[in-house]
Amino acid sequence: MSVVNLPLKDEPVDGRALPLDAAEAQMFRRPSEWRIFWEAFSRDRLAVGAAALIGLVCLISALAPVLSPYDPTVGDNALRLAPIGTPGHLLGLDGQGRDILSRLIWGGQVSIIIALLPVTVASLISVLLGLVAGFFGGKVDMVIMRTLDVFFAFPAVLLAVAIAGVLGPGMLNVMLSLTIVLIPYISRVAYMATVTVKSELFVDQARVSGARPSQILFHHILPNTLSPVIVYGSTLVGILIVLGAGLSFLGLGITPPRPDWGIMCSDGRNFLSVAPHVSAVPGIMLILVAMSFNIVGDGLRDALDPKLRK
Amino acid sequence: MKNAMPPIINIVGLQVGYLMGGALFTEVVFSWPGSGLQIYSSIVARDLPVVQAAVLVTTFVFVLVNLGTDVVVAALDPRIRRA
Repeated sequence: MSVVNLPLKDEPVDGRALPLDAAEAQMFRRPSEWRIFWEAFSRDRLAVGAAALIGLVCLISALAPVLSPYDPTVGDNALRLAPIGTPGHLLGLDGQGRDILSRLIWGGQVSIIIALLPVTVASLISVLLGLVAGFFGGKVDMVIMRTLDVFFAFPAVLLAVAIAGVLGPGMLNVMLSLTIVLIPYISRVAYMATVTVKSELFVDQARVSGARPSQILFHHILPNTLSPVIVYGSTLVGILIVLGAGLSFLGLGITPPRPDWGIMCSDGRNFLSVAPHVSAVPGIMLILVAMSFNIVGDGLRDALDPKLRK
Repeated sequence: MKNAMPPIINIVGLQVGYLMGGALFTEVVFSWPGSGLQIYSSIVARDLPVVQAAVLVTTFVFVLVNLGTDVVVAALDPRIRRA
């Protein structure tokens, strides 16, 4: 880890104006964790680009009421299946004459929330479960991890479809089923990190110097389990966008009048040979955003892991 | 080769589960009569016993496949066999 060599650009290099010890303190000051992280992350141009793309998509989706040129649920039947580049409709119209660009902007809202929220909620629950199971071990470990192993036995997609199917369609139910599906996977990551960190010397040192178990758990172990979970979570977002789209595609997710990228792909499949753009445009957006999340995840892994920093 | 195989076999075992889930979408799109379409149509018809049974059967197959991969890996790697 090359902490000392990092260039501290915006800090005064010559400390003449400062008293000697203050200048010295500034020279040897360790840059903050955020700064180390940002220095490492910004060196990965691809990851920064991907993060920018995600930010842009989120911004556009958030501003949908302002930016969307047409109502995403009302169609113009005269122009059904109009191709890309039709005047007034940049990305053409779908099978019911609805503007694809507007639906894409509105659908982004749903698609991104459906991916981000379950990952966040599942990560919070999983970190708690993995932390407790890994730290206390023994019976607690057995009960928590074996229960999660039961969920592991089901193929993830199938479990998501089954839960969503039983709960019925709707945005909340999809997010619930995705959260349940994710918990065993993220818990495993948090658990492994906890077990590894628990046997480190600094944890023994904390225990010897009289730290309470809760202090060791939250001050010494938790920060070290967070980074693998953040990294794993960010790669999961990409998978979840696709999975959430798949659920909507099967009619188990968002209910029809509401636009969602998965539903848009699904709507277009009947006209695939006549008007491929109806499915292709949202499909390409899905791939782009999902891939961006994976790239950002890779970048985060490289930036957060001291061993991988160059 | 013998030493490179175990991780690949493990991944292949996990991929079977992923593919069985993926088959669901493929079967619905092309209306192929398979287990995925069975699950889908019973979900749409709210026929929960069939959903439960189908998911259980698929899970059983998945667990069996993973048991198989474990056996193969153990056969290939003496360290795992003895542990």
